[in-house]
Amino acid sequence: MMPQTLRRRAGFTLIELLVVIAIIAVLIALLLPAVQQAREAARRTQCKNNMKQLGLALHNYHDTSKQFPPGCFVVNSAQYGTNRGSMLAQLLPYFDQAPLYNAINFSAADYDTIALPSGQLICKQVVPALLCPSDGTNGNGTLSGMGQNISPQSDSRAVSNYAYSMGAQNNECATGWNVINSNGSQNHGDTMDPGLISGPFAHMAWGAGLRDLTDGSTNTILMGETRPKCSTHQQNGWFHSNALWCNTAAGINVATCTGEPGAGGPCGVPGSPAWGASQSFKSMHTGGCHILLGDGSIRFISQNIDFATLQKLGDRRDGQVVGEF
Amino acid sequence: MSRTVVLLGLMTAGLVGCDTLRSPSGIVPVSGVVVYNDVPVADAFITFIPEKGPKATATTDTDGQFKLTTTLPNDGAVKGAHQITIELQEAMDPANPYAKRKSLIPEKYGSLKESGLKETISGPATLEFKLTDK
Repeated sequence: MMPQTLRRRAGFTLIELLVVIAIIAVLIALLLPAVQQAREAARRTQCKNNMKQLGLALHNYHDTSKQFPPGCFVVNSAQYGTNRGSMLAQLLPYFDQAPLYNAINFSAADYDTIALPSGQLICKQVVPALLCPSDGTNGNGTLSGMGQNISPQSDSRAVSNYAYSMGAQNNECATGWNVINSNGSQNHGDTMDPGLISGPFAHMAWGAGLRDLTDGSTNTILMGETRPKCSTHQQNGWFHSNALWCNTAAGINVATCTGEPGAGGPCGVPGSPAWGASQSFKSMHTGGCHILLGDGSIRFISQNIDFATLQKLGDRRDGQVVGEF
Repeated sequence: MSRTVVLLGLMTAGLVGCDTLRSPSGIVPVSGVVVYNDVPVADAFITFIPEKGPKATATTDTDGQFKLTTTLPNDGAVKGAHQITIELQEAMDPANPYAKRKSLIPEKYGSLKESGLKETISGPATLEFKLTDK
């Protein structure tokens, strides 16, 4: 038999209990705010991942073609009424959408009529990889109503939350479009002359090569987030030649969505020709939006970013030191 | 024991946070009026471009009055020296959104290099811009 030892009566003092409760309370208090943001954080991560895939696609395209894809395939502004396919149409095979790409008849007179074997028009085909889950204003991925240059005008189109950058380009209602110098003087980027385009893509059939990003690929914005609901042109859809031409001339998250706080005036209304502001980068994330830099990296930049710094990031050959952002 | 309760309360209170949108620091309310040849200008688009920081914009109402917005509606502009542009354009063919546009006030006021409009904001301010044909 083991010798029995004297035992104290088991139990906790009040102080011990309170200390334990206090520790638990602290842990819960630490966790709660994190849980509240967890869903948006997850959406933001997916949003960022989609953009990363486009970055990789752009670089793979560059490996093949020695340049980034042109903004679209129109060569003069009179052609905007006809859909000749956007830069994303060229990228399709590089982000696992080869069947869609193969369905495009590149000699068609108007790409709006090109259909998949199922009969679904490509311009109405929602590509989930082009939608940011944080933006809940995309409907089911297609938007209609304010689209220009598409027929019928009321038809809905599949949209994209990711658009290419023309840099600090001259655009209506984007005063101070280039505070550094006057690169990118052609209004709306309506040119194929690289000398008149500030960023890596034009509104027409021109796209830069990495050699053209003389500021360094780390210091040049390739793409950014956009909100189709807040831009007349984005509503033309991801497949349309007259949709994705965004710029860094107006700032980040400039409110242009009718009915949303802060929107108003000729530069805040999506229907008016206020394209500098409506075609600027914006997102539903609090305080800023994601941008894709020329080296394929993604950065979340604050909407309070120094205006001049944003211009330097947008311009591919300003020759200025960018600094921290 | 009461000390523990107080401590507990303080710790919980200290951990309650919030994640709402705020204007950048150093923003002060700025309002004003735009007149052209002594007539208030409606729907003019005003841009304040600071030496450092985000730009502020505003559109004038029917009395030519404006309030600058940087991040949140009517929050103002960052302190410091600003270059200012004022634009008012009208489409020459309202049916065609890509039509050429003509300026209803002298075009130089819309150009960063030529407008000559400069202000230094050091606190809440009410400004007046008198535009002339000269």
